Amino acid sequence: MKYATLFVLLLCVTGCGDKSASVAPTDEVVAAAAEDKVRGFVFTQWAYDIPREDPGECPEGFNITDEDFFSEEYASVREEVSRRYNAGDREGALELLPEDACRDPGVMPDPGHILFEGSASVDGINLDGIDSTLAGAGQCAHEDFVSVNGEAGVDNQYWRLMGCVKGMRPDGLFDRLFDTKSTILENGYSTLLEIKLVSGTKTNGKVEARLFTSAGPVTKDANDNVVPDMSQIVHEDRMFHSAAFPGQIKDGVFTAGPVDAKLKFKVQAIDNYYYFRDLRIRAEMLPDGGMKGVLAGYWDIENAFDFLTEVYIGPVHLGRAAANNIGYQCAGVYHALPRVADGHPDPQTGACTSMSTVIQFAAIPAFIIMPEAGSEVAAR
Amino acid sequence: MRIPSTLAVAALIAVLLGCEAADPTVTGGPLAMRRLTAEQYRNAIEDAFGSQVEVAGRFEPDNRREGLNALGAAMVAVTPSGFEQYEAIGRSIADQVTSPELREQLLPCQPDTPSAADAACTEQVVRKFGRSLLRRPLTEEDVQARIEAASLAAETQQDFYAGLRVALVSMLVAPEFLFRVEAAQPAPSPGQENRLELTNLSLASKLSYFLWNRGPDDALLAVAQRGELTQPAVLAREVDRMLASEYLVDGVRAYFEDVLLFDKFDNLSKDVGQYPIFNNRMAADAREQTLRFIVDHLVAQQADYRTLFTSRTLPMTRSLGAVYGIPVRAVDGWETAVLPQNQPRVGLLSHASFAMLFAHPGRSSPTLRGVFLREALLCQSIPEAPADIDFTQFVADVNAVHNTARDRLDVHSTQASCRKCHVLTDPIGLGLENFDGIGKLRTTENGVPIDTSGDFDGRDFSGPAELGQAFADNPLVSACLVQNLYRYAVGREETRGERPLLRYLEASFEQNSYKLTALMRDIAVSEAFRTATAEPQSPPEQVVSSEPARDAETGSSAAVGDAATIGGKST
Repeated sequence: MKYATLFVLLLCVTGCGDKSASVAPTDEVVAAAAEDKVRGFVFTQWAYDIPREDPGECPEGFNITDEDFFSEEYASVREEVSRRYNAGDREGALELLPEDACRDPGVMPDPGHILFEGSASVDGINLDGIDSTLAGAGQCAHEDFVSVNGEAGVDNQYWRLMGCVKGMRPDGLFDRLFDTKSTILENGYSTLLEIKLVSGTKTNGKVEARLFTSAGPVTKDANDNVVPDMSQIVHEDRMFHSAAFPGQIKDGVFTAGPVDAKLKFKVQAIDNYYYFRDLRIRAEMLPDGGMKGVLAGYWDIENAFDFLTEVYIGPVHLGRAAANNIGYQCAGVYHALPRVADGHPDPQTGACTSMSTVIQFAAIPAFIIMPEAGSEVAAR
Repeated sequence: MRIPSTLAVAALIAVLLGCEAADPTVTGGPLAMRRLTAEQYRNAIEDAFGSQVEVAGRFEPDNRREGLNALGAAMVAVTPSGFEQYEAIGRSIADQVTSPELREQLLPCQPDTPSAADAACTEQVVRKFGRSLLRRPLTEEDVQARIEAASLAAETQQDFYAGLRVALVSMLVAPEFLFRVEAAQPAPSPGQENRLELTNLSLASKLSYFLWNRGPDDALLAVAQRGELTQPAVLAREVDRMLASEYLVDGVRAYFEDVLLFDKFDNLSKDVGQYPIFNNRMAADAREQTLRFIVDHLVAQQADYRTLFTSRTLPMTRSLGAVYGIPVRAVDGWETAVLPQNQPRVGLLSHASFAMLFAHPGRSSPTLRGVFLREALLCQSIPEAPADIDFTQFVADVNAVHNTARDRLDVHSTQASCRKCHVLTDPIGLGLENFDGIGKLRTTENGVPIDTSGDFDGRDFSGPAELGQAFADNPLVSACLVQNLYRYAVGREETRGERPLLRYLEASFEQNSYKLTALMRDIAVSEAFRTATAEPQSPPEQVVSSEPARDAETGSSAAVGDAATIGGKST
């Protein structure tokens, strides 16, 4: 039995309801919500941008896993690993395997990682404002994409990193997971967006936006969709409250940013947060009151490695099991991350510390309530 | 306005003089015998044995008459299968009370030998619980019969507790427990040869079920047992005590659950394809929301009854917040919300409970809503729909030109046989079309703006808020409450002779700023509430009641007066 496959079968408990005191929002806040001066949204989709129509080619093939790399070592202990694992001794089972670079990437040299180097029709935003090429100056030089809509200069180095990972390709594991909206429906938290009208009208005006992580999960309806107009309390840890950032709504499109944001997720065996810098939003405002678009920003590469590898079921670290399922080696990704990084050069070394990343998202109206009783409320 | 001019003048004079108008000396109508409702049964078990004893089982369905189950309760019997259910429930209760886990806590004594009968201990148990269950002191015959039955069973099964269970079940299936039987004694007055006065114990039960929806407490039983409750001053004192009790909330909730047809929630279902956010929790919250809203306004705040139709303040849960479109901080519990001024949603008529109940599984229904408003809140009668109606034109069809309920009803109402009723129900029902089949706010249907304007008995309104105000201002609404509450209290329709009392109660209700508790007090202390009229076909000397006549002081069986106690009975 491939013990690693257990990973995708195990779901985390998502009942993480908050215990906030019950103090109703103030009249002013309710009135502001009713007048649409402040609108709240809860995310109903969150997915890495996977270019389904034109994902590009991987002429060097796809990345391998530790299970492939250490095939002989795995084969020699496979039966005992299964025996110990099935007996509940998960730590004991893992001890038999080669040293785990997902727990400590320093235990082995760089095994190599195949980057995506061709062209693909990705979605996203020209974050750095230039049409970058690999021939450009500096360590952060990178090749931009041309978007599905023909927009040049799109920055999406995450696809450079993961474009040749089987589990990230169209219909791969990640794609299937996002199709079932597990990042939303099985998440112990939700992502919230508040838009406050500063001037103009709600269809054409200047706005101020904020991103939050909620204190608890979304509420599902009978068809496994997120219930609109539900109240969501913001997480009490201010680390998960972004600063206000400027934006506008024009011709039915909402754009905003940049802003740094930390957004918490607890999905399956992942209990972590994303750390994005200079995040921007571009979304189409929909007739039903929702929106659909992209978040594009620079994902801190240390945080990205942690997010990909810090996978636990109870006390058992299963980062390597996840990597085996998705199709990469942690050591390979660890060493590849600085190569694809294209943002936020370290002032001392000049090395880039973040990689451009695109998240496809959708959101519907919700009421956003700040955690402190009696505090202000963002509304739908 | 239905108040006769002379009464209105009298009421005005009374107000000017700063004194209350006198209760017209009206004798009550016929006696009633009512089956306990499921809720009353549960309350009785809780009062006798505590909340840890569960009532498991289904009761026979209630019988709604003239809009009230309270009236139907006086017109029902217990069927053989219903009796079996009562017996099964009674056995379950007796099993719990005598179980090793609860017996030490609940029973007042232990048997000398658990494997044998113990008459002394059985007597203590029967006396302890019998007074509460039968709502009166037990007679010696009551006690001895149960001791004998328990002893026989205990000796046969060599188990004291098996015998005790027989005694307990016998009380739990006793007609005097399952039915509230009114007993009275002749008290003729000039011109009223058939006048009766309720016995103290009957008056105690009638009072406590009206105000608390449960049996009398020890204090009320003690007053009744002393024979003092029928004295007007004592009665008024007890009524005031009961109105100040926390149990009043149970009584007010029970009345409004009945008159608002909330038992329909038990079978409420929605098309989740149409309303995916609907679930049983949301329905339960909607029901509870309206009851809490009523209790908060009418009991806690002692507010004017008419404010129910105009108030923007109401209890809210998070799931209902998604229906009402307002933020809610409480995760699991309740909080008080104030509806925004720019929302058309105001007052009772816009509650999600009504929108859910008076709608079809997949769509709203202006007609069902209109019928409910006319019948429950205005006390008007709308005939049943003819059996041969063609509904095809009314069913929503996005391909048809009839996009809104108003369009479809207009077509439907072209049939003369339909128009005469729909002209009464639809204008007000269409005024609530901003609320879909679960109460969520909407301004369009099939992309077409919804027109919620209309006419309510000569008063124009532009939408639900103005419709609510029109209800608040309509004297028929408060008069209907008076009529329904009186009927609820006495368990039957008012007689012709009681109609002046209703006019008096309406005037007094107005004088008391439409406070519900003042109206309840007026009814409870009225002459009609504590008296009755013997039905002509029941000769005075004939005992009709199943309740033996008892001396109020001792509780022992004895004829009262020169004849016998007359009990009421309805079919």
